[in-house]
Amino acid sequence: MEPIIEVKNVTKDYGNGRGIFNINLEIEKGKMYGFVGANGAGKTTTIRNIMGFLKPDNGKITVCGLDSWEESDKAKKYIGYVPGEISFPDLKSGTEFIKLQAELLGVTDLSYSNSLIKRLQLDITANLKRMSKGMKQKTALVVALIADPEILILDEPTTGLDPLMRVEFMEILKEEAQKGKTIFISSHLYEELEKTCDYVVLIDQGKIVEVADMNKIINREYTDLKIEFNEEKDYEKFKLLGYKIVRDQQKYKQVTVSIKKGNFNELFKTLKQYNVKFISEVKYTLENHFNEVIKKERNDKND
Amino acid sequence: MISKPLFKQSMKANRGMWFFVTFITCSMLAILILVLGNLNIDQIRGSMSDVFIKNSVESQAERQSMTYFHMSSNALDSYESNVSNVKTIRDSYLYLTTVDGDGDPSNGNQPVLTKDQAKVVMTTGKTESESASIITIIDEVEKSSTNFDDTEISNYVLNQIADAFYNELVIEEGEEAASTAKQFISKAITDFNTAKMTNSSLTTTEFATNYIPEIISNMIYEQVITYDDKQIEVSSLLTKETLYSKSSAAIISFRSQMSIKEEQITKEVNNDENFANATEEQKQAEIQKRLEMQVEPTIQEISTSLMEELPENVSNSLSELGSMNIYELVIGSIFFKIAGLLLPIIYIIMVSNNLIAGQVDSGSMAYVLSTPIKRRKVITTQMSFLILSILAMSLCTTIVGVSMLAIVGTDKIDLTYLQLLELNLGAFITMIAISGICFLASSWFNRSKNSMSYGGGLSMFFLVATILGLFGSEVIPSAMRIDAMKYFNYVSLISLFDTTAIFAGESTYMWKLLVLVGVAVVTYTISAFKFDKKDLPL
Repeated sequence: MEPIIEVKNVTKDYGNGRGIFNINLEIEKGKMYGFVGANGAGKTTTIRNIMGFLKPDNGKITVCGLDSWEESDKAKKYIGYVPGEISFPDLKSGTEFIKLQAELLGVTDLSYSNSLIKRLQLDITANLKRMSKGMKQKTALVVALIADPEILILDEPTTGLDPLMRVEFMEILKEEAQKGKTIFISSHLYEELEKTCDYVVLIDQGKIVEVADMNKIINREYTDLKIEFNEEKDYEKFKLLGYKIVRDQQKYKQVTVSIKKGNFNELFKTLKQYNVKFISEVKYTLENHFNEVIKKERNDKND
Repeated sequence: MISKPLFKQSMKANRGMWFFVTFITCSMLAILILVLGNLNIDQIRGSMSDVFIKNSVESQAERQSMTYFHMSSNALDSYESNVSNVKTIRDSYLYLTTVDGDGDPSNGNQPVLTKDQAKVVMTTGKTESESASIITIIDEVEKSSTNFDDTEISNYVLNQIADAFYNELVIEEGEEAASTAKQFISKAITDFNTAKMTNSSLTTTEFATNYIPEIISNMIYEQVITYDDKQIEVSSLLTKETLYSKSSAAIISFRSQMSIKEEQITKEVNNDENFANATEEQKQAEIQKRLEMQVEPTIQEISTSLMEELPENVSNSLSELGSMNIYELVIGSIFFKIAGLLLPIIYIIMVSNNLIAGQVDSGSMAYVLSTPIKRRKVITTQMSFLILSILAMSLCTTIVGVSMLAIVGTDKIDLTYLQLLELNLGAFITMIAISGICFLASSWFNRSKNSMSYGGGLSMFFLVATILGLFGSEVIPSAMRIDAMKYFNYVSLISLFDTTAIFAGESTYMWKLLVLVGVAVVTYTISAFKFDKKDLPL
């Protein structure tokens, strides 16, 4: 299937190693994409290029087949955008803001956004300047969804929100995704993405490192187990048994082994003969995964 | 090319400032026109020029009084002596030709002479010119049916003297002045004769001393003089009494000065070796000749006006102050170029920044640009808003200005409706040019601080340079002007708004305004291209 957003060899060089370099990305229609990376990794630059706010030095971006720079205005018909900076136009209330934004979008039917406002329990009559950060983010989301666009691009929308609010926010996005929208959300928090996204794109130092399929990460073949022994000799003996040891901490007499799902029985049988202090599962998170990938990537580069 | 909702948004965001600035500026203009029209801000300047005008009229009265006094007393003197001369000749002639004439029969066996014989007798031993006048008088006696009585002699001599004055003046002063003098002399002599009927001991000098101030004060009181392109009636400035006393005082001074000089000259001539052997008559003639040369300087000395006494540069700057156009300074140079521009320029700086750079800097432009709208359309909408809001502001000041002028009346204030409209047009175009610069800064920079400091800084610089340049410009009287400060005008864009030309009624201000239009066109065009092509950090 033709990707709904296609980033091809895009470079935007700000000098001193800042910017994005030769980025390639294909966003499939109807999927939810997370976009992670450290501060300054190039998330916002990539998004601004997709939005047509920046002109790429090199390469080309198409949104629904439209050039994001040359035909920026047409491409915007399909995009709802929640910017990273929450700063609203100089208007009195949220109501006024939404009304004017609807006019700009050419939307006359406000029922969709009204139902959304209701669901979010948002008081849009409030003064824009006095809104809390959470309210502002919700308002920004409503504004992005007024025209019920096919694509929703959000730049770190949950930054600065409290955990409860963050969960609620992600829930709404998940619902929108389920309705068939393509969602592209950047964040530097892995947790919120791994629970909701179909794919997570990792960017580091201006380069796409990996596009991870969350299904594969969650339904991993192996499970990591951490085992601590009470006695030194048991610890030494176990190590010789040939299990795949991911981590070895001699000081604590701990080993972490990677076990194929379904092979637990065999391990437990073996362990019956050992004096084991505890066994626990080490959760394989996106963060672990990416840390490994980045470490590997950077090592490769250095070698 | 214009997005209605975006225009609406800009309106909602900036209308508060617009109303405030427009209200204050209109109020300032209204108060200014009302004050200038009603409170006679022109009073001091007016009374100053009144003093100068009065002074010049007074010195004119003095000068004329003395000139006419001198002229008429000369005329009257020669009239008196001529009349007695003619009478003597007539009487002698009649005595010689008439048997029972006035002559005493016992005194002479003199035969009665014929006309020709009498002529020969009477002209014997006389000079040629004397003989000619004697013969003329004898002819007149013969012609006359009344034997040339006193009234006829009086008229005859009067005409002779008046003609003599006419002939003397017609070459130097022209036809008109000469005939005026002739009439004046005739009238003075007639009036002298009338006065002498009631007071036979009246001397010519006494008569002239009283008579001349009367005539001169009446004459000048009726005059309309032109001062600084304005017609002023003397009667509105000075009373007849003042004019009378001024001129009579001048005559008295003149008389005493002349008598002092006469004494001096007499002494000089008597002591002069060249005249040691001269006859008394020759000496007298020399004295009269020298005295005549003193008349003009004496008149000048007595009638010197206030302005003539001052050093030239001081009197020049005083008269400049008196004739200064206060409306041009206050309305043209101060209001329309400085005071009335200040708040609109602040509005322009703030709003230009709000419309583009402010929204890019804060990031709120992202909401506009995440809708299907071309950047070109965004920039033209914001441009139109800025231009139209300035136009609306100018229309308000125009309406307020025109209605205030209608209330005050153009007779109270030296400002026409056309000038007021031209001033408003000029101010509008100046503001548009400045807004172009601010708008260019706003679309060029992504940061408010840069847009404000470059666009706003430049605009403020122009305004400040105009304020400083004012002290060196022609509208400030030279006494207060600092010439070197005019160079500030050369670096200010606002100088292209030529209020002086507007007040002078010259159309040169038009091409200067066209330059400003050019500035606006260029800056707005570059703004549009720049915003269309640049990277936006949204």
